Amino acid sequence: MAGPVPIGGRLRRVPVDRLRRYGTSYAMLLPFLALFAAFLLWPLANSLYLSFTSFDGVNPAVFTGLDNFAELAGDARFRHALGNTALYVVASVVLGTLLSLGLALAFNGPSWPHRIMRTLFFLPSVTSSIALMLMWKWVLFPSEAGLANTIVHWLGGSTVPWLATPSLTIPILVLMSVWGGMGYGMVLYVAGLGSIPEEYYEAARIDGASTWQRFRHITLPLLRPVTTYVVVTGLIGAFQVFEAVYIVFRGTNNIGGVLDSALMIVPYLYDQGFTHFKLGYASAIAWVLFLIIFVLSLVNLRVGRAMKEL
Amino acid sequence: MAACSTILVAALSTACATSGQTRTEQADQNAPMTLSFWSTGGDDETATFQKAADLYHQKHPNVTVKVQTLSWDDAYAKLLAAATSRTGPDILSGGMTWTIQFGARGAMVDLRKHGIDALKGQAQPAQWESAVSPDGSVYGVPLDMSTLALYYRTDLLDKAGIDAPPKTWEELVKDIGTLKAAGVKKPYSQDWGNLDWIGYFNYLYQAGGAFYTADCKPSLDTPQAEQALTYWVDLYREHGAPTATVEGSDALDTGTAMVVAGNWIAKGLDTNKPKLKGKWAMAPLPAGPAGPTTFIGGRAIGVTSYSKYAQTGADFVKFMYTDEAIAAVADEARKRNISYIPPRPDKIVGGSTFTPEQAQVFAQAIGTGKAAPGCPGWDESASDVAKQLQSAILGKTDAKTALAEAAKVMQRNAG
Amino acid sequence: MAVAPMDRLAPARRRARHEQPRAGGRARRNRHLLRLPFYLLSLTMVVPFYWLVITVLKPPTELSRIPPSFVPESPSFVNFHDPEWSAERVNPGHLQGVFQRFQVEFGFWRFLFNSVLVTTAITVGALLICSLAAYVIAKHRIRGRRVIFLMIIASMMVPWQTTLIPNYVIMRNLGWLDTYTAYIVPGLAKAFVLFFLVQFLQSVPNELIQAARVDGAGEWRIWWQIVLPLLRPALAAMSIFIVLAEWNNFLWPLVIVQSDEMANLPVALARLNSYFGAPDHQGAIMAGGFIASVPTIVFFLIFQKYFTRGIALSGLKG
Repeated sequence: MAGPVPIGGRLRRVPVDRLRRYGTSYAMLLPFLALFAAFLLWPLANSLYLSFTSFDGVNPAVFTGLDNFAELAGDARFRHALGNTALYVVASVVLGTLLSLGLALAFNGPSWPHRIMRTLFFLPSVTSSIALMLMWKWVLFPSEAGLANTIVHWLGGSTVPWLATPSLTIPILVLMSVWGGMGYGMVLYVAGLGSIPEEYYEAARIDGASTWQRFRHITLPLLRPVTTYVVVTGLIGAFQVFEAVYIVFRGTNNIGGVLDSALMIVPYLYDQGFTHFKLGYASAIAWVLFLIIFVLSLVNLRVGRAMKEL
Repeated sequence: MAACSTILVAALSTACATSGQTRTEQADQNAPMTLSFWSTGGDDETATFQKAADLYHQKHPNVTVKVQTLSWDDAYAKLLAAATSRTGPDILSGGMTWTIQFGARGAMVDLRKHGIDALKGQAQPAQWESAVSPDGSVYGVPLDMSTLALYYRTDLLDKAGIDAPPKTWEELVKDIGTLKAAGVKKPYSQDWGNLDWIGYFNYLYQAGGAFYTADCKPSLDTPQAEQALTYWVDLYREHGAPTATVEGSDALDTGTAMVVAGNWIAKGLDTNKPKLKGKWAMAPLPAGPAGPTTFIGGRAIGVTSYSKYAQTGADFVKFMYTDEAIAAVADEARKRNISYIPPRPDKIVGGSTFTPEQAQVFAQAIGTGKAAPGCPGWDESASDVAKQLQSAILGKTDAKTALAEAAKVMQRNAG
Repeated sequence: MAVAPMDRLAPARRRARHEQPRAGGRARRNRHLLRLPFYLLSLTMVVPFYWLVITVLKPPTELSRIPPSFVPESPSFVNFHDPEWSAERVNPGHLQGVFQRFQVEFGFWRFLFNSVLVTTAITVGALLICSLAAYVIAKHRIRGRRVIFLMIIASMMVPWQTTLIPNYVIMRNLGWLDTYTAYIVPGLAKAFVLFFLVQFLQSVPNELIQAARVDGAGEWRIWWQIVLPLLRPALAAMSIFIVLAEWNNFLWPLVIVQSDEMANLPVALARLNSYFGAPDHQGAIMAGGFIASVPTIVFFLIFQKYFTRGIALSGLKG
């Protein structure tokens, strides 16, 4: 490797002008590192510290040990939020991944119909997310003025209070997430499909493999890196869901909607942190979220791969 | 905290106390000054309060008050953040019990120090009480009032052969049945307070119950509370009140015969739903076994403790109770065709933006009305109480269990 | 693994060329049959967007009609601009004229401006700062390089919400609440961008950089004149990510914005949401959503090629 400065071990013997260049290197790193330290590392450490305190934003933080975490363990609302989140994450990631793959298999050609379809399915990814939430809220309006209830009436049903029916909450959240996200996954899969050498299929065809066998034994295994990426980023994104709950389901004095049926981790964090100003307690929630996502990320092979290269 | 004394450490250490713990130095009360007033509500309401502020400026040329809107959606979080960080407005308005919360964090001025008790006699007693902290401090006073009424479609009631709106719980249920029999698909719905504690509030007090006893002990585990909840739940489960909230004027417009909704609906109904003109009327809520008690809402206004102009701010608050300020606000509200009920019961008929007939209905409701409990722990409990009520309405638990659970939460938060 | 040059990422076209000759007769029919459900699924895309657009075009009186009209009968732009509106006399029952609604200076344009300003500043700033650091990490053999890079990779596992509360308190203590600084500065050091750029640079040969050094160019100049142009495809890909993320950023602005004037589009839209309730309000709410979406959709339609390539690049090689 031809860097400007010899590798570590010979450092002490570098001439003065090289040291100067060394200084330039650090100067170039500095803006990033300073910001990174100030707004990520330091807050992260602080958030850990705050999670062991009863900080309320006004009075100095008082160290309370593991009290917040003990309280969290016994907090029915938090357990409810965890359960809701888990259900939502699993359902939306599984459904979203399957549909992404299906769409990619269906529309990976260069023809106009395929391109139009790809553009169409990708459209939600480039539309303002809050606008989409407001649109869903209007589609699910609780009278026949709303689209969903109009359709229900066409089919002979009676008005459904979509957003005030707890059993429909998670399905609606999953629907919104899958609807908005499958086009993005599709684009990734289309790229993945394109990187599979055509020769593999030719060879398989000569061996008499059926379409299904070719899909099962060539396409799927070779798409595994893409699938891993789609699933892992999907999981991480789904765990951080906030807007859908805040915009669509929040009630007048309860962030989780009717019976807390839409309560999730990040909305609960916001609720405790910014409508109750229990900053210590909210920091404990933040760290639980961190630990969950940390474990999920370890699964992500990108880290291992990246380190090998360095 | 010594560790927080240097600026850099203070800036980055997230756990330090906010600087405003000490008393804010007061500015010279005669120098030119500009006070900011964060008003929770809509832009139109802001404009009406600005008129009062302009009038105040005429009388005190050195004082300018700038009113700014906070939307109901995020006002509480914004004000709480301002209160804890000691940055933000000199004057603020918000939900009736909010100033108690901010006051408890040391962010509000106890207005008693500025002679606010003079206003007490002019206000509606229950509403005033609701803004008073448990320790007696007055961090906020009512800025305006709101209440509920039963709006009904005269044409639909006529069609069903009902000649007067229901006056009691029994009549309400009976009329719903009659309307249904006459082919009215949507006999009844609730706008303000639907599936929420405010909706239950009316039935609770109409049955003779209360959220708290006079000395702030949770009192939801009473037969009255159970009777109220059972009746309310039946309205949904037996009599088909929708669980999803449809905005009041829209509900009337789309064929709902009777709607419980806030006073503001009365304003603008004729202009926004021209089809309804002459086809609707309003009445006080039907009375329960213990009477017609109705919820009184509204906003509280207070002065922040970190304001440099606390004295002037308090004077402005007092000014909002004067005849001329009320007239200025009402004039502008009339121009904008929006609802305004002044915080003085004697001014409801003359000083609100409603027709005398409408104002009579509201005056009647307010006369016997009660306001949100200002007891310790209520704000923390409200959403949990609402959740218990919801589980009864949605058939997850029975009324008795739901109320026992709600009482437990209130007990715990009462400390 | 090396990052593929951009031109290798036009997969669809290449693959389909092979597909043509062999897809004959029944196989093709079957394939089309299998596609049918996905064509039907596309209706779920068309219908909600269509609903949004017709809502924007309907005047309030038409919006509260039951059943709703599916072709606007009296299409108008009152939801954007209401000719009868005046600041002195507002008709509060209807919510229309979204450009006049907000009583801040310049109204809705101000939120649009805020969003554009913040998104641009963060995108440009982050790309500059991250590419500088990436250049050092990828091409300078300096001490602590591995540790720094490891730390940055590890930080990608931190959900940003974990730092929400401390960062909020820091903004408060610095007096940055309700300023553009609070919008921009904490968003500049993006670990993912740095990581991606380092990956990309590692696959770029060193000859050009070496040659420039031989010619006596300084490191800053090399970065500006050689590294940045080399990074162009990667910067294009990353700018798409950053623009989309910042344009939609909601929770952070929600926390740091205090005054009406400083809201970005998502926060302003959420404020419109507090008017939600009556059907005749939906026109203005959807109009707001429409305005917030048009810039990114147009951006996408113009740079469509870069979008799909950029996403593919990050997904396959990231």
